Amino acid sequence: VIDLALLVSILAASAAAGLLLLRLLGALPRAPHEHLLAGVATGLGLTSMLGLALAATGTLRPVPIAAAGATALVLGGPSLVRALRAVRFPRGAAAWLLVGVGALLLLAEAPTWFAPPIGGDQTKYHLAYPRLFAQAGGLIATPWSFWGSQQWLQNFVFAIAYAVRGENLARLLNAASGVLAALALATLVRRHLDRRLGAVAGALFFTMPMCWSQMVRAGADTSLVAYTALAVTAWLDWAIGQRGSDLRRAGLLAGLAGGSKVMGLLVPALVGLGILAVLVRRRIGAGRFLTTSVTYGLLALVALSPWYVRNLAQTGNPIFPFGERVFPGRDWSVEAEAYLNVYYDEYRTREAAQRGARPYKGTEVLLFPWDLTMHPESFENGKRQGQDVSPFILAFLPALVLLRRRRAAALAVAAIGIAYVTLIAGAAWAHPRYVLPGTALALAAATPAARALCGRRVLAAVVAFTVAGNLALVSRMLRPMWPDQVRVALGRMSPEAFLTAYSDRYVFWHRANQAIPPSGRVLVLEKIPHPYYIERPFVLLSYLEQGLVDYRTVRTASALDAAARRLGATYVAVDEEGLHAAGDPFESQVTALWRDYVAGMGEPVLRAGGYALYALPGRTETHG
Amino acid sequence: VRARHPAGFRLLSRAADAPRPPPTASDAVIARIVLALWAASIYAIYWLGYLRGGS
Repeated sequence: VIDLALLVSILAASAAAGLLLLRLLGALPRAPHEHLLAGVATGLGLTSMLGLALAATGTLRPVPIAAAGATALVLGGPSLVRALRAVRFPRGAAAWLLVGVGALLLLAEAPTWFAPPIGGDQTKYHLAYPRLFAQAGGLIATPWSFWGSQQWLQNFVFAIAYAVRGENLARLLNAASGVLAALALATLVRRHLDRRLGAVAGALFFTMPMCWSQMVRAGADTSLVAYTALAVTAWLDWAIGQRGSDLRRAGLLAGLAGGSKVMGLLVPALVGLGILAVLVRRRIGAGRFLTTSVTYGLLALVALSPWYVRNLAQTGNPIFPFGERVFPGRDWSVEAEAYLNVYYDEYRTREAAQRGARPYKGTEVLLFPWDLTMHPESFENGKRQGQDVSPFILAFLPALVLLRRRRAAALAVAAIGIAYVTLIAGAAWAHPRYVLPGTALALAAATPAARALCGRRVLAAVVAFTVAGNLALVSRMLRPMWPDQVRVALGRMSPEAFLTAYSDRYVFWHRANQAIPPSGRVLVLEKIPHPYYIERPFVLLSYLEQGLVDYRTVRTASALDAAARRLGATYVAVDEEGLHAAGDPFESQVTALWRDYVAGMGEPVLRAGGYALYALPGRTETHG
Repeated sequence: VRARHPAGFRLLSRAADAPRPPPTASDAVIARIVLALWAASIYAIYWLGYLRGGS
């Protein structure tokens, strides 16, 4: 209940601040009933900026956060009340039925937010570093893992949640972003494509099996979808009415999309191209062309920059650890980035083998939409449903050719979505989660296209069948954890018992935290560490994710021991299975070094869950 | 109007500016049938994949 009350407070304060900023910029949507959504989205961006600013100044504590929230509510409260009063609810039984399905799904997802986080990247970096920042009350340098620099808009919202309360609140805020994304897509479709189909598009997105994965595991992707959809909506508003308010809102929201993750930078770029295209088509004079472009570009740049500036200041590279040749970063190298790419290639090759193929080369990437729909399991290690986007988009996007009403808007939305998917899949990584904003826009465009092909009654049947199918697939993801997550949420199972049942890492670290004294420091020798459960000071020494200790130069056990002592280590934790990894020559070299190193440390102090803890000779006092 | 480009490059020729004949009813029906078959096939292949894969 406290978590829910805090969630409402944070959302209310964020919305108040967001509405205030939109009002000051003269960037509110024209329709009052659309103010709340734009206000909440903008406000969550401001909340993240606040989290980053407080962390950067070492004041990430409840009192400054509460003071900022109270100030936002005092100054923006009247706007928030007006926006709440202006909200329009869906009309018609069908729309309410879809809303009801979404609400039931949300109810099913709720227990997962109240049990400890398991799975995905959340314990690797999405939640691990925000929690560290909150514990420290500020930013900490993480030269021992580049994931400390992959902390974007949503991550600093999580940092606020950890500073105020804890992991449950962080995951509630993650879920709020998922709901925001569905509402933003519904708004885009209702406002610009077909006013009868907003709820349909929202429900098709929200029930998508992949959306379940994003709702139950904290990450950055749903907030990126929300900002993308809202930025495209504002762009289309501007294209129709040429109002400066819509242009400014497009710049602000596209910028926040760019601050949501590195790949999100494509959103301000593509929306910017859309603005240029409209200006060229309208044959605007040079002066207005320039002021419009500069207004949009500046607002987007200011909105996206805080998280990149932080990386630039801490590492010397705004997009650390990528682009090392252009932005040489501290504790990293061109060779380390090249090895990261080798690992990603190995990963793609292993997963593509599940569909009997290999990673896309050149024009093979044209097969991606097909594989995305038919073989979603062939992109990531996990259940097939976890990356499933349903067959709706591939089935109905071609029917865009039949559209007559609002054809240009639908084609524009589809064009931005397809361009996003094509650029990410072709130039970065063809992965369902990475292309999610493009997929969501394609879904928005496919919804009126399906209506044009099927007509009203058949579309209703298609939507019912698709949503039912989505829910059936989601139900297959409930096992094995969901029943126990319900027990934890209801207080019938302890979080510790839950973690012991599902996380080998927790089993090890729970005991290791007791074995290592509070003054100790543990060195972690693991390729892909998830540091979430470590409660003692630690240094991660992966050969993949850091360059502080470069295994290209540290090649002997004595050199590694010297590095460990320089770092103040008193204990060494090892992933025992990982000691035998030999996927490539560099990996073989490093794991041989690790085996050699731990062999010289005698018997482990502790062995559990596939991990071992060694005391560094001459540096330790046993504890607990 | 004389085309600047050889036949077959309609989009690049001046003839492209000439009004195109409106699509006939049968064109529209064929397009709808093809698109409906495509959509039905996608759904069928998608669900067959799950039913065969058992996941």
